[in-house]
Amino acid sequence: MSTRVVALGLLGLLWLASPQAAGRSYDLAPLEVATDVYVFMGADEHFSFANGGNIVNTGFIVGDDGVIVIDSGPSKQYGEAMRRAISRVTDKPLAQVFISHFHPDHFLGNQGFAGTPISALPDTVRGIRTQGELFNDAMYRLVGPWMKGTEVVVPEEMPFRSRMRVAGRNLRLLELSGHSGSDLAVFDEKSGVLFAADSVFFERTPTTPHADITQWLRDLDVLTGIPFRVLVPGHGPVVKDQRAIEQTAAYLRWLHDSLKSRAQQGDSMAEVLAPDASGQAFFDLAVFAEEYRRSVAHLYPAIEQDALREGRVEQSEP
Amino acid sequence: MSAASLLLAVLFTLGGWQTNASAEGLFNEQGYRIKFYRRATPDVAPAGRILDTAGLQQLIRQQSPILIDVQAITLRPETAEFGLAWLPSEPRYHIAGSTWLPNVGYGELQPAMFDYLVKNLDRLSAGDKSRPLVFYCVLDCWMSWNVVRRAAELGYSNLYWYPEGTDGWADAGLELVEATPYPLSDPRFFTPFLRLDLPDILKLAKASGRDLLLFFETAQCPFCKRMRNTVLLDEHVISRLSGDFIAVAVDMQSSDDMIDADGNSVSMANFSSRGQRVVRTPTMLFYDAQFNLLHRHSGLVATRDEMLRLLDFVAARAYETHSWQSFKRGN
Repeated sequence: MSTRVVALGLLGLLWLASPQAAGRSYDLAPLEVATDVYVFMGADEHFSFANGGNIVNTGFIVGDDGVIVIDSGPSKQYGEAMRRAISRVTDKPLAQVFISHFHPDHFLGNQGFAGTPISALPDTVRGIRTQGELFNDAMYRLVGPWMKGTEVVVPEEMPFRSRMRVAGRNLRLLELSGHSGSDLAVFDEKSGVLFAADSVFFERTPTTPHADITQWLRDLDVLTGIPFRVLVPGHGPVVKDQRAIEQTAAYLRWLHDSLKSRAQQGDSMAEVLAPDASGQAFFDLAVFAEEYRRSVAHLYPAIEQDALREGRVEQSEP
Repeated sequence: MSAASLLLAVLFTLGGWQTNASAEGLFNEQGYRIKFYRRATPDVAPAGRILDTAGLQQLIRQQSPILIDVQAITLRPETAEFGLAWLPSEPRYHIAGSTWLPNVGYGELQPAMFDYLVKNLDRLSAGDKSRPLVFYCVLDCWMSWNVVRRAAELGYSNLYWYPEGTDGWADAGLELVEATPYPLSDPRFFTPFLRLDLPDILKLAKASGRDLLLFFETAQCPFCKRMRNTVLLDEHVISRLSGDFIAVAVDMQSSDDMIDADGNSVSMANFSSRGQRVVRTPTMLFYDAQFNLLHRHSGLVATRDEMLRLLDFVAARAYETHSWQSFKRGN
């Protein structure tokens, strides 16, 4: 698609009258998922020049005397748009920003929250410090001018505590690690809303570039035990029951088992790029084809190595 | 404190709190940006003047500046099998009338890329270093910043930087046109082939609807040398040639192997003298894609006009109704 066509398409968003780059603004409308708890829903897509990287769910909780923000989105402009949208909902000050993990769509909006403490788990901070700039480069390539002015702002290290009181809210924090190596989930006890971030996907195929699937499945067991009334996944629609956790677990189990059995059959990576029919239940998840292929690239080499080491690869016919 | 570190100090205090961009290593000792090319750019040009979109529109109206797009793309390195080549991965749209010189905005340039920049600036400005030059790429792109700096070092004195690039132009609702990277080497008269394989070359001629021109020469032939140094370098001749002919040089004295039109391996010398019965140099033989001889021209072609006329004579099949001598005189 030509730049011109993209630019024309984006003119349709001008009604927001954003002071940002002309013709290019995020349409961030807060969705109230429980009293005083809001979510900005992203598109069930991949990063593109059309969506500006807005493929992620971020959110905020309006506490007694301040606002708690969960994740800052993919760009400076997104973080700024979030901040403006929050200020239209409440005039309470920003109290705290939590960054769930080090993937770029979750922290590159930090510049929008200058002056507010931005915190993340130590390994998340380490990841952002070492790979943040590469992610920023990649995002510039993927969504171009939407990244205008985006710089990496490294969050402060937050030593893990399972309970925290912020802005008058009792928060339960969960230190998980299956999705990216360091994954924070935030449970707001008063509203019963669980911000699961990318430990849970719903109706959108999970991403696995830094995943440890066995650990991820354990994480999902932990989340199942949280008495939430509303669950906000990192990507995909908000749910009020266990469906999102179950779907994520089922997909990860299928992905792992199917890749493992194909490694044992001696399938090459090229063959595995066509998904096994046993995964049919997942073919309709958003961006399944792309994410499945990416997951093969992420996971198959190690699974293949394991199968070879165990000596369980069947000899194929000459 | 160098200019670069001063600039950095300014840049990294702007945010008011610490950003991650490891400040060290962003610029080299000469002050060129060498990594993280897609980041916010400064508010002042490294040399010359900064332009916003309205300013660029006005400049285009008033001074017809030379517009240079430096958006980077993949450059395939030269190997035994493949030459240096641009490999655009997706279409690029830029400001009409621009010349696209990809990759000249990297902070450190290989000699071939530096040459490409120097030659093209010289060509575009016709050697006049005071001609207005505008450099751009896309929004938040340090490559155009680097080139402005480099052009100043090369002595260009009328420089403009348009940091918003094609994004800013498109945002203003202005038209962009499809771009082609300027070729790495100037087009040449003779098409380079690794090996003179006539069946292969004829296949290419057929596929591209062109005729074949074989230019027979020897190392000692003075007229051959003269043609190679004059008419065969002429850009009008080359551009007239390239649409209608594939030109290949044959060294009449070479014992190097080639494949003749029947697929037999022969020496170039035997092919010339026995096969095509060439006795004088230079001789130009024109064939169609089935290797039917269309026209035989022996001896010097001294001027651009005569060479253009000769190419027309063959391409238009004028030999069917005219003698070369009468066609040349314009009858």
